[in-house]
Amino acid sequence: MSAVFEFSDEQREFRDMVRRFLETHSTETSVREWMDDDGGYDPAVWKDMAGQLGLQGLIVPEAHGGQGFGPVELAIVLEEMGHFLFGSPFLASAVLAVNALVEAGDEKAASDVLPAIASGEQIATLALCEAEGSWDPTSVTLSAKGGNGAFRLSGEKRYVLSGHVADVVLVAGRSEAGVSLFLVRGDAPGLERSPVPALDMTRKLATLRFDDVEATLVGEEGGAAASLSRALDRTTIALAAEQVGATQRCLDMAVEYAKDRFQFGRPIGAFQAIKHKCADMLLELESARSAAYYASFAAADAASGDDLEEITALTKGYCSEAFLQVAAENIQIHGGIGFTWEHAAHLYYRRAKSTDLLFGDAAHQRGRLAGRIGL
Amino acid sequence: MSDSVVSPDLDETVRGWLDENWDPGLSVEDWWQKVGRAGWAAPHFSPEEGGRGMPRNADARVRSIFAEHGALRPPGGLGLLMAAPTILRHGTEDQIDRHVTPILEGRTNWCQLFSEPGAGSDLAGLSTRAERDGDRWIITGQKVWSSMAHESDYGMLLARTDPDQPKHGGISWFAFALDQPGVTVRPLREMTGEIMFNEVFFDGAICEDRDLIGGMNNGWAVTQSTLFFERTGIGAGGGHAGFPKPGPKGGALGRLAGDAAGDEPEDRYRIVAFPHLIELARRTGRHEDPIVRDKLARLWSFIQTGAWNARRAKAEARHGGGGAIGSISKIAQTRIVKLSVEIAMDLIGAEGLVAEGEEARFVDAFLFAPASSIYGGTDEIQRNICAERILGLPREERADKGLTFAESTRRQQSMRGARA
Ligand SMILES: Cc1cc2nc3c(=O)[nH]c(=O)nc-3n(C[C@H](O)[C@H](O)[C@H](O)COP(=O)(O)OP(=O)(O)OC[C@H]3O[C@@H](n4cnc5c(N)ncnc54)[C@H](O)[C@@H]3O)c2cc1C
Repeated sequence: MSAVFEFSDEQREFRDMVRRFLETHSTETSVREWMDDDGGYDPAVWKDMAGQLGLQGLIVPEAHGGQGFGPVELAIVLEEMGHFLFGSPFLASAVLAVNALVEAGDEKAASDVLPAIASGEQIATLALCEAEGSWDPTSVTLSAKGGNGAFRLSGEKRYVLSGHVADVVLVAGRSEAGVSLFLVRGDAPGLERSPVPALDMTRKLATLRFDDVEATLVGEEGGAAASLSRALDRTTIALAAEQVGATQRCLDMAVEYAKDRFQFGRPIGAFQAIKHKCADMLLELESARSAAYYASFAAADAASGDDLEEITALTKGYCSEAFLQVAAENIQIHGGIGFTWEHAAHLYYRRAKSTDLLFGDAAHQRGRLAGRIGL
Repeated sequence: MSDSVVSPDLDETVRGWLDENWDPGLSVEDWWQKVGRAGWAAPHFSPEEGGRGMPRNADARVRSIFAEHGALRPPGGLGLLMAAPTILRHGTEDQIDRHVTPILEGRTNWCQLFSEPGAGSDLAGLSTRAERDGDRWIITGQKVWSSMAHESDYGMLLARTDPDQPKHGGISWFAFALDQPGVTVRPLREMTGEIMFNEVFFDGAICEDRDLIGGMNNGWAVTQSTLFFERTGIGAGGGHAGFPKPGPKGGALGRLAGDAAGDEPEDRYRIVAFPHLIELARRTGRHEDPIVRDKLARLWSFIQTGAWNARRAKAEARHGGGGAIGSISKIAQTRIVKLSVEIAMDLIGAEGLVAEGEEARFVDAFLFAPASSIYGGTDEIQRNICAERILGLPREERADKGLTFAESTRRQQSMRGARA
């Protein structure tokens, strides 16, 4: 049985270290700069993060140049990144792409690509979603023709995280044998990458068009649907922790403001309408946090007997709604100033909806969950 | 850490113990003594306190394994939920011996004599008096909404021991024996049609000084503990009435444990458990309906996050944190109860018009649901607690700030007079 909810002293210290790094480097000013930048991040900070903390290789196996940590450490990092709205290709490269590669179980591809991802020298991503917006790997249609490991891809991928800056793109395509995973270089001939104006400006997205692009097979041909599902679940659990960190920040902002802002001769936090909103936000936050922590401990402990798909669906569904509600109430509590461009509230509101939509929204997750609780 | 979670080992341990010990031929009294001494009445208490040092939610699991086994479940009730932990925290060794052990062994049943007609959410406004007379206290006044008082042997009684102090300052907490002249218990009928709560009148009733718990005029601090155990216990799904009722007044102690075990199935009493709803959705053919599926999945998320909250609170308490999670648990439980009955009534459809028969359990639960956001402190009060104590938002302005109890009573009367 996993030691659920018990963080070790090392893990607590690790959290402090990550937080200190982000406090210095992910200020609101820098978040806004990255927001206005096409790439969405600062290469110097990215490099420092690799050099000082090695976070890009956090969950990369040691054999491939990483630190070989697991879902709990990853959740710690993402909770802190969510809190500070850290803008970078971290989710795309160090989480999603690494999970996809590791789950694919292809040693050669792993040793070719993972070391450069782990060191932060290269950025990777996964291109999965297509025009109809499904994150279910079995729905992939992008065409893959060829054999003997060499394939050519044609079709379009949407909502690709950091897709326009990635050096390495993992692509889910459909060959004769079924859904398969491929590796494409970011600058491959025939690959056209266009950044899209994103709802969440702090997390960049691109559309990728493949016109007969050369690609290498990763893992077994036709066998990618299951490994991609596992990779998505692991990434989704990490994303839930990011949602929790951001939700905490929204509640902090709201409470701070409610103590400072005076109307009718008293702080607005003395009014029950505001106080009770804050209490409900606390309920959402703490429940979301329990779910995200539980999910990360469960993912770390394969022997726990937990059904990871069920826990992922529950956690993502819960955390998405909690974050959305708290982010929206944060704006309400701030009144007019909460609706301005200058205030950070909208950045979190945008992040809340975008993380809900990523990898399947709350309603979708509850649909998945329903299938696993006896319905 | 095998003791930090409700693990499969727990099931094994309980079943093993039942295999060796369950004997339907014992009297209820003897059976409960065995159960209490083995630590199953309150597995979440520490071994020194008479429990097994397990997490809060182990309690519910233990009870359901007893039921699955066909054994009479451990004694329950408000004594176990609130009086025992309060006395453990604030009582003397003598008080613990005389009161906690009998509760764990089902020999006494307790009720909570807190609310009064003039003191609900504002509990510190209570006016029932306790006046010293040598080594006894004379009690005069009235309580209301006292659940199970008509079947209880003892009451957790709050009474005013000094009206000239500010209202929170002059209150004391007594372990009060109900069976005596000077006490009148008058049952009230609830909106469900049943009788669970009561009015209790004290007219010169007696309480021994040795049953004043936690010190004179220190009752407000003691009460904070009781209320904490109440809301976290309810939040963890505790507060089960216990069938049959513990204590002499329940009338079951002399019966055979085997007979009593068959008495009242837990699931026919104002509770809609999640498996009932799944079964109901299938039985009514609504399990494919996306709206029903979505609601049930949401409800399951509430239930599961609630259980995880409780486990996390326990883990964080070991590191000196976790206060916030305990305080939200009662509001969380309210939304579970309300969503459960909403789904149940939706699923049974027109049959909800009828209050008997196969689906009556759901109608009962629907009728009882509004109580969950009132008893144990209303949801509004719980939100105030979260906002003020956890988030540090400014305290509510109090009209009676700085006044003694006697002054604030006079002020209230004159405000009422001015309005009339
Ligand atoms: C089924 C049931 C069982 C009970 N069992 C017991 C028992 O065994 N022993 C016992 O002592 N008591 C018991 N109670 C009483 C219960 O604790 C009280 O009913 C409860 O604390 C509310 O008090 P009240 O009924 O006087 O309502 P009031 O305090 O008059 O409240 C009325 C309304 O005003 C709101 N309100 C009051 N003050 C505030 C405020 N500061 N801010 C915002 N809103 C406020 C309340 O939330 C509520 O909506 C029971 C109640 C029920 C329903």
